[in-house]
Amino acid sequence: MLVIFGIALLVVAAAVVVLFAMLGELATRIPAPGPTRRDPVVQPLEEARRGGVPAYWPPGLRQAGGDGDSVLIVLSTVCSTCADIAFQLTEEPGHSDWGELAVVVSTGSESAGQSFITQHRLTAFRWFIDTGGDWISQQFGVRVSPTALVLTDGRLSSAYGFHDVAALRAKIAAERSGSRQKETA
Amino acid sequence: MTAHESTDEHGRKGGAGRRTFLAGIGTTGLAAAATIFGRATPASALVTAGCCNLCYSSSSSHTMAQCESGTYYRWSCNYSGGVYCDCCEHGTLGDNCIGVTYSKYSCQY
Repeated sequence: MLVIFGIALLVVAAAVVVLFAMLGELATRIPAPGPTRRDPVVQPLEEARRGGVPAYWPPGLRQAGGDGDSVLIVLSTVCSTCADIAFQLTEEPGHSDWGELAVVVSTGSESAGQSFITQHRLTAFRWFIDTGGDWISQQFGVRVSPTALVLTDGRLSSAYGFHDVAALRAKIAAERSGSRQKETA
Repeated sequence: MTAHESTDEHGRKGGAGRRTFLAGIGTTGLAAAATIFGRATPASALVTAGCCNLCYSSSSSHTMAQCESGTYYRWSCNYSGGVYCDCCEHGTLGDNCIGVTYSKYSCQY
């Protein structure tokens, strides 16, 4: 009798565990709160030092600088809109096919940056944790997020503030296409 | 007396078997629960102010200049409609806000 009771209790406990696991799984699928319709405006960033070449590249971004053309998405752990940008990069709709992309996370500490990278699953991209935002501010004069720094032949050709990654990507593609046409003309 | 001892002995044997069986089931249950819930991400309780994600509600007893003294982390974020916010964490910003003494933010066009 005791064994039967024990088994019944275990079945109930297992059912409760599965129920909570299902609730947890459903909760993770609810998108992060944010504007349902993102602002498609891609605004030039005045304070960025255009034409600048970084004195050095951090290890995680070396390839981004080495191949000449790259796009650095600058996010920060204290910026609430940056979480939505990370969400767009990884899941909605996801931009893992954007080869020239690298993510720089400005943060107050390495551990907070590491948590941000892990929480938002940004390991699919080249990434760098910029403690204090020192590297990005010293090399490019930028202390704001979310921003995109566009490098052409290793030089900062343009910088933008944005909220919609798809709009940003279209803008950069048009910019790259325009500069190629100028070169061939 | 002899019969009573025999029954008791059987009972003890059966009890030990049941205990082992139930302990096994319990261990399996705990292992399953740890597997299911072990990968859950830790909860965070950041305060959203403007476009800032701060450790605490913005301090009314400190100015932004005070926040930007000593050890601090300050960064700006762009909000929609051309609004920028300055976000400041005073202290050593560690994981889960360990080391932060207060937060401050201000927004402007």
